[in-house]
Amino acid sequence: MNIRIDALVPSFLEGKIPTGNLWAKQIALDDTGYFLINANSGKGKSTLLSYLFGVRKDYQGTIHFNNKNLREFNIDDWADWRSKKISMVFQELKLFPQLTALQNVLMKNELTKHFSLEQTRELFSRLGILEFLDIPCNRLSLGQQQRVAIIRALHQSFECILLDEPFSHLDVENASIAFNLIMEQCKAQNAMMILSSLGSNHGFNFTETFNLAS
Amino acid sequence: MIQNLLPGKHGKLQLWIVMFGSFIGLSLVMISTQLYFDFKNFLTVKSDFLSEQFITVNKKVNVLNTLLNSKSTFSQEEISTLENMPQVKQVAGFVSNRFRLKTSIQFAGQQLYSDLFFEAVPDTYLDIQPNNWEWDSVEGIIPIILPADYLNLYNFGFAPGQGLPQLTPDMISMATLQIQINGAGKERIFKGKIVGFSNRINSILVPLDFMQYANRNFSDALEPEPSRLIVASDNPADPALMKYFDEQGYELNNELLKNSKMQSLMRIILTIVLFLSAIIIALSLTGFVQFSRLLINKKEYEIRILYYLGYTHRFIASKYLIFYLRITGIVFVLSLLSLFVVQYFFGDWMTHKGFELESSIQLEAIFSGFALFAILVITGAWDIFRVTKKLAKS
Repeated sequence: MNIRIDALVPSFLEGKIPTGNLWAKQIALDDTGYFLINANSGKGKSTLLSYLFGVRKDYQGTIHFNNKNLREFNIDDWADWRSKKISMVFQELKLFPQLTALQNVLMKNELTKHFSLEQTRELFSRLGILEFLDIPCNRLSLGQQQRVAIIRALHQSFECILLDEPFSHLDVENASIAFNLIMEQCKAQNAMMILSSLGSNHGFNFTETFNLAS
Repeated sequence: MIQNLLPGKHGKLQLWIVMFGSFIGLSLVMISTQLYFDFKNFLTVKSDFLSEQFITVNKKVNVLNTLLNSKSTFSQEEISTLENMPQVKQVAGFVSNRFRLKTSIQFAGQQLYSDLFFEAVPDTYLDIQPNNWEWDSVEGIIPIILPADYLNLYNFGFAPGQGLPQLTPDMISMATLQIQINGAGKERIFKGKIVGFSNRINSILVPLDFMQYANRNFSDALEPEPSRLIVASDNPADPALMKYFDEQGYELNNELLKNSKMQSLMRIILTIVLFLSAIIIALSLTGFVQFSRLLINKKEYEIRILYYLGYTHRFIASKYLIFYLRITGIVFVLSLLSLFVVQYFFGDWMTHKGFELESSIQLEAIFSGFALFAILVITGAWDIFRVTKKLAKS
């Protein structure tokens, strides 16, 4: 897929002079690129990703997915895209606190039928949280919850994955394991990755880096 | 997995109250519809139900009246007062014969003679319109309408005891009567044909134009005031009208009016019950809608995440719809059961009291309940779709 961003200005920047190399610029993101959105807190990383996921619409300018304006997406289009073409790890994780780690993931997999239970357990094992499968999420640590959210996001086919500070609660070693797992899935599906970060590139050479503020 | 989340836990008490309220409402509607149709079959008299009704009015005849020789006729003033009552649509006086009238008939080998009287009212007041209800001045044939009671009296009272044959209206219409009229120094013989039987008017009726012709030609007397009136009214049992009749000392013909009174009483009771049920239904509908909204709102966080995972709003709505259908369905089935139970025991009781009711469930009763159930479901479903869709858009 391709994403085209034209003269995008978020509502909190209206009337101000945008800085950085993304706001109010013309940008085209192609198929298999890996893109890093870099900025300090409060510069609009999450805002940008929520525009791309159709959660927020308070912007000027246009965003096109495969030449279709996001403003023309209806709720059925979004349901379709979110189950087949675009996935997201939220900064605030958005897990179901009363459900177990496994149930949280199955909630996605029942819709997409993407992995077998065996494969799901394998992912839990690789991220080192297999033993927490049946623990309700509200009793897991933030780092453990973050890995559950990553595993859930991988339980679907996607052409683009949006990662909003996905490793903020992980140590360097665990972040690297998780990053490699995501990268593996992106390569397998020829998918694009858009990752936001507070500055770290997680030791990876991204196709392009966007700074939201200079 | 989704059933772990939706529709979610709910307040038991609140659900019970909503279900109980709508159960009462639905049952009331069905039972009152049932009773209405039970009684309607029982009370309906001929074709008069729900249409214009006719009553005949006369002044009371009592000893005092007779002794004082006070008038038993209606003055023009009294008639127009009655005509101006809001419940009254039309009034006409009965026109009586002012000539002497004798009839004879060849019947069962015997010649029967009798003195007779005729009365006439405008045709619009008749409950039947026989096709030969025309006075034929050339042939001198007078069509006559008799009270239906006369025929019954003859067939079931007189004929069996006398060993005479029972008669049908068709047979009677073939007989010809000799009618001898005299007055004002003249005399003429007419033929009479009985052309029909009236349930409404208890008199021997001839066409009004014949009566006017005969009164003109065989009487010197002026046209007297009528002693009986026929009144057309939408609701002859109206209390105000009744009170007026009572104050004036008027008498009414009875049977029709008793039914009419019962009918209007039934109508009032039914209207009250329907009104009450409408309020209860409206309340329980709001109750149901509020309840399902509350359930949805409680799970707003979860529903939003499900949308982010790619679930459609139709899928989410269907989870609530199934739950909604289940609780309203239970209410409907219970109400239906209560209808059967009430019908069973009430039918029994009424039979003991001597009422011959059709002791079967009226289709209309089930239909009325089902219609309300459908309204409940459609409104609820529409609201669930609306609310979940709104969540998906925001």
